[in-house]
Amino acid sequence: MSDMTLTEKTLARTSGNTTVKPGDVLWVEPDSILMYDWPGFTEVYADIIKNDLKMDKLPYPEKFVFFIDHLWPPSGEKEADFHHGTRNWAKEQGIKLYEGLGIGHQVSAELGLGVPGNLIIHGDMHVQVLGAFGASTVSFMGDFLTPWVLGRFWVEVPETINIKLEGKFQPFVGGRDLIHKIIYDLGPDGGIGSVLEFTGEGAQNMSIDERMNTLCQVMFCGALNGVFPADDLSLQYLSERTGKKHASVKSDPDVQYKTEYTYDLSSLEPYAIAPPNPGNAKPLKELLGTEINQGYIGSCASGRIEDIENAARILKGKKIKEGFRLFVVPTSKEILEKTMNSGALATLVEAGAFISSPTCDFCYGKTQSMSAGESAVSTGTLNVPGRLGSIEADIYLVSASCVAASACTGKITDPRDILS
Amino acid sequence: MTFEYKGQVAWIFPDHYDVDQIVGIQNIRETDLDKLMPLCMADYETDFLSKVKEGDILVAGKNFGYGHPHFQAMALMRKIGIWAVLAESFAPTFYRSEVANAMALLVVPDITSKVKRFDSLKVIFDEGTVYNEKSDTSINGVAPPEMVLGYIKHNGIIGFIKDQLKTG
Repeated sequence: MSDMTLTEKTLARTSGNTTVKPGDVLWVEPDSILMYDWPGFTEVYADIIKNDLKMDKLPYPEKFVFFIDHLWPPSGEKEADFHHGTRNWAKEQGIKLYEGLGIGHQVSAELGLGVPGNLIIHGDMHVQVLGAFGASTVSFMGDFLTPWVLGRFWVEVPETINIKLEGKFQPFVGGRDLIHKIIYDLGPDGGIGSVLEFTGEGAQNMSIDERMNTLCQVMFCGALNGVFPADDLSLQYLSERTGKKHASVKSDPDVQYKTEYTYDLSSLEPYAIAPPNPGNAKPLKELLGTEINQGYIGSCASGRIEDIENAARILKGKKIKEGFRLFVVPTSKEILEKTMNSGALATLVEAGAFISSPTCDFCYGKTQSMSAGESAVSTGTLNVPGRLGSIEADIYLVSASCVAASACTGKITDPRDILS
Repeated sequence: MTFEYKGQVAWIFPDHYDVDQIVGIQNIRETDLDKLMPLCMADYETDFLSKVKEGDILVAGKNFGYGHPHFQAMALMRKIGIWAVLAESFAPTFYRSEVANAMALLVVPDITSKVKRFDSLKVIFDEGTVYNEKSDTSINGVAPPEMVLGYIKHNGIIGFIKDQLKTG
């Protein structure tokens, strides 16, 4: 049997084959089908299933998990009615639905859905965070009816790029800096259609939070997804959630990767994504001193316990600069509770931050809008013009530590400089 | 079954193009296509809609559909009558989503250097070949997988799924 990568093993199992190789086009059966409700999609597909396809029931409801995390909390009757429709439909179909627990991609991890070697799909690209547990993910945007109704979808087996990591992050440098650096090196299409597999001692040194922060943005170098092969850390996280023992799925030792990049985390410098698009990566040092009006710590790409704890360390005993607006939105209810109990949120409130319960709505600009001419540092997922209000407002994507440091000064600031 | 597309090159997009710019990112929360139609390509050319014809073809560089693409841009193109895009490569999620809408997305290496705007092209999609009538040259693309042809053959995902449910 020929050597296979983790991803190839997952696609072989889910397609019923013994071996597969890059370029093979297969029908595969996903293990989990995740989705959030969003107008124009979910209610439209529910209608198509019922009225065009004449199906009363989805064939694999046990594979589905739905989340209400956008338009949350609803503002106005229209949004309330929309969620009400989703709840009724999920109940009718026998589908699990979670709401009020936070951003679905994070809640999925907390529910233990990121099982090693599982194939997990979602209508949204940021499902890639579940690769932190060795799961393979595929995002759909407009094609989800195929797996919803048929229980299978087609995939071309991707090539795998080995991202070999050494060392440990220095304080206040982390997963966001790593993925921004990878985008800087590979460019917007350097990983096109491929899987980024994170290997080496450095990968095992990364926390679950840092792995998820890194994976959330891998599509911006063109990658299909990213994956950390499960190790003791992720298997322990998972068994605590599921009460079960899980086994890791790993690439064969002699497998041939498409290419390999090596990074020493201990010498990694902070990196950012500058306007106007998520491919515009730059060393943070090139942006230092840029005037900033607003900061956001949250989203499925950050807003995790370590992000909030780091921000609190930076802002402890300080006040954010007068006139600066700092929004801190823990990514899930679990994170909210833990950072509340640790005192980190109290520190941020004392420094002048606005704290919200978890929701996606800050990330895509439903709230925290900016005016023309303003600039933000954000841990959100995207920085395209208009994402946070005016199309003439600039968004710099950075780490949570950089947001906290910049909140002190009102300028883009290296978080390592604040405490030195 | 052969899928042929004949038309002029309506526009040539650069590398890493975010399709939301077709309607303007500031308008992306609008989902009513009739309201968006006058804005289609208006940031580039105010009379684009009068120059484009049913059957026209879009051409693009590498990584077309990069970013976090929304549905409106390609839905508008289909409403205009554009059903084919030739690009040097496509962003993976964009590709999956739009072929499901029966858009004929064909990977054609170096296509941006081989055609000019308003050239008349003939595309044989299932073979992955392009013929430029203006320059009388043939260009080889990458033939799409059989599953993609299924979406085209059945005019998109609903017809495709109906067929799959019927044939098993």
